[in-house]
Amino acid sequence: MSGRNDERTVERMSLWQRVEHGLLALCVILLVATGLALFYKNAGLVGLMGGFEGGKLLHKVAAVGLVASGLLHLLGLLLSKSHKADFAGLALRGGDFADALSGIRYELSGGKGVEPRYGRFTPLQKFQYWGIVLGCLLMALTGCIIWAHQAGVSVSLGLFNLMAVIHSNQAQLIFVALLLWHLYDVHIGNGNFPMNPAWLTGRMRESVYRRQHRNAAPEGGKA
Amino acid sequence: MKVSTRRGLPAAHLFGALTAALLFTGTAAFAQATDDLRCLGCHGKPGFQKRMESGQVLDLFVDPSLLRLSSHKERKCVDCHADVAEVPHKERPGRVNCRRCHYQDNQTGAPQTKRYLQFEDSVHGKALKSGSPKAPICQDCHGDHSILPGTDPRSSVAHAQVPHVCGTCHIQVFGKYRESAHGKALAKGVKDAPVCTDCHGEHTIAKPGEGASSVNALNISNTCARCHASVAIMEKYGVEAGQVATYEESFHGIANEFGVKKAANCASCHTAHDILPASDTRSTIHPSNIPTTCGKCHPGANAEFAKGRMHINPKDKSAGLVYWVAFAFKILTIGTLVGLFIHIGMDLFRQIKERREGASGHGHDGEVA
Repeated sequence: MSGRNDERTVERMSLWQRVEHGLLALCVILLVATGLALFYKNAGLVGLMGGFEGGKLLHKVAAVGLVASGLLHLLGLLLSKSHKADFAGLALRGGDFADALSGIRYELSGGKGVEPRYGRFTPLQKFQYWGIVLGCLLMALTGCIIWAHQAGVSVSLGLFNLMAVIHSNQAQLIFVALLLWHLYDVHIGNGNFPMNPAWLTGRMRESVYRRQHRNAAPEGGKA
Repeated sequence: MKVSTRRGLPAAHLFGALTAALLFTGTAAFAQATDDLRCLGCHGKPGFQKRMESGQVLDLFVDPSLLRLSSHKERKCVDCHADVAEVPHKERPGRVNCRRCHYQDNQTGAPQTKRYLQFEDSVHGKALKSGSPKAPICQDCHGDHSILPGTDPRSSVAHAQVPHVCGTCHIQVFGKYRESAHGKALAKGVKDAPVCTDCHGEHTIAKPGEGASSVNALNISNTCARCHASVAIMEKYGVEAGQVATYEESFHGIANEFGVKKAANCASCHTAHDILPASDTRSTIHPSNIPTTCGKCHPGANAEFAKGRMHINPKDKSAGLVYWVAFAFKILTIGTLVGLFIHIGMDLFRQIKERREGASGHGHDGEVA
């Protein structure tokens, strides 16, 4: 537990998780950028991607990368005990919504009353994780059907239209909920400015961790 | 007594000049009448014709009544047939060259327009330049002795006449057009019904493969949109005006806008000249024909492929489930955005509070030095 400027740090992400996260982040950014640039006909961005065909190819390559990051995640869960423990910590509990609400109440009251204590993952982090899981599954499913339709598999127009509307709207939700919200949290919010380095080094400052997790002590040296 | 003008021209000279001018004008008018009468002496006789060596019979009759109606009624025969110098003609007169008068910045009284130059760059003008015997010249479309402005319904280039004129060469296309929704509408007298020139242009006609062509794969949706995106025109005939917008927002439309020529455009599905309503079993967009139509690009298209609607607008309730899904996502996204703003507000509020407390000497409980 040592780090920059002799400040104590805690481990947040293993190398495997960092690779997985890096691949996921790269692919999601590429998918959102290429997808929304084409959807909203942003000529500048589409030009940067090498035109429509270039953007389409990049979108499909990133889509394969996204699925690969999902498979990497599943493989990690199968092979690593700490990943399994993380996954167990991310499981949604009935009390998560209540915890989130009590946290909001605590903030709005200006720090009065009982301060909620979170475990290794805050309710918001849990919601974001499951948002990513569900979002990626939905995007992959709808994307595969759209891709199959273009490739010549006979998909009814009705189903195709439904898949297309889900795919494009889900992409916008992902942009708002995951990219904007998550980027705010790890770069600006919760005292992380200018950046929570966990995604690169695997560790973060213990003081920040304690603040974000409502003074929860790092579990067994791993937070 | 001498009367002089302000410029000092003697009155007698002025009188002489005026008399000469009147005489000249009168002579010219007389000469024109005489010239035309001489021409019409033969050409004005019904049945006046010549048998060529090839056996072909040339009809050389010119109806004087048509001449009197035409835009060129003030012109002499020899103004156009400039190579005719003697009667009877020793040699067969050549083709009339309209460009003797019709050129840009002309002083002949012909209309001032860019069309003359545009024609040279058109598919017809290029064919003419290359020496093609099939290339049309002005009079093939505009007529010869009965030339009238296009606004005159009797003109060969009047709106309703255009398909017939183009059809004299483009026979097969004319046959298809006549049976199409557009052709039938024109036959019923619908003035909004598009004719050849509405889609292809007039003097600017280019091959569809050329970028400048209004029916080029990348331009055709804009050409169709001129009428089909107009609510004012479409609602008169009970046709949905939103089809252009839904196409532009579709995968096909987006690809087309970014220059992908193979992406389906209006004509890819509706055809160019055989356009028929979806209810017509001959239509390429009739449900029974959709697998074939879509199959041109999507080889796996079958009857299943045809189930559902094209041109749906997710913002319109008529889209059914697609509308409600889009609506639910809209609420969810706006809700999330609102949640994000609240989250940011609360976080900033906390950070400011902590800084103030830090400045006044109160550290955070969880801070580890």
